[in-house]
Amino acid sequence: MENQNQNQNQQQPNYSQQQPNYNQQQQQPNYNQQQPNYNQQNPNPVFQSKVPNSIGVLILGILSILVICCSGPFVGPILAIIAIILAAKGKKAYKQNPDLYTLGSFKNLKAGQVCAIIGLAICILWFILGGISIIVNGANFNSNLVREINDIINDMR
Amino acid sequence: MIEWLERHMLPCPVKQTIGFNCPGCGMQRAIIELLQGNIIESFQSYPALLPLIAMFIFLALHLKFDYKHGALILKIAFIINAIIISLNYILNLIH
Repeated sequence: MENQNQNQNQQQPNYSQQQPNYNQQQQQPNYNQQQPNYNQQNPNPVFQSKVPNSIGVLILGILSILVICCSGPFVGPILAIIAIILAAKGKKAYKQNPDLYTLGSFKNLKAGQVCAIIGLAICILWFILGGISIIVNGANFNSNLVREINDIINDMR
Repeated sequence: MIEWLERHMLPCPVKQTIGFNCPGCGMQRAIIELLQGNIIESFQSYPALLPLIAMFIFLALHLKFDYKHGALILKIAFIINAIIISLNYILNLIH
């Protein structure tokens, strides 16, 4: 117990020292732009930071459509799912204390989430349409997998 | 360089393994046509390429300068792109 108390006592001042440093480093460039918005909403000026993962989610969400187009069902959905999970985490952090984060970065996060969901929907739509096209066209399609299976069957005969 | 690209076009890995077209079919041809300067042919072979390029340029600018309505514009651009890609894919399937 004494050890724990000592640890807590040691950590407490460290924490309070780190907090202002953190805010100053991350917020200095954005501070001037956000000041007018901030005064309208809250009388107490507090430094705001970006929502965690916001930029990553935006980039992943928008990249997901390109990757789905280029590499199909194998990589695109993975990017989209990662983006959705990160977005859920970021939203949770924002909802716990919205005053800490900038509104612009939260909008980025939401846009990234929407993009990732649309990307995933396109992938699912593509699977459905591809399946329908296979059913409609019958055995007309031409793929290495099917050809190899046919070769194996022919060899066995 | 363009000739080298034309000779080394990647065969679509999706089409080889699964057997049906993917929504990105035609993009390589469109990129080559665009590099050659034939914007109309590029648009005909893959209509979503130019909007996609525009969207990525805007994404880079938005991340750099942090526009006020950047997120909303990106969302709308993404939805438009998604619609173009899906329509193009459905049309290709029908033809």
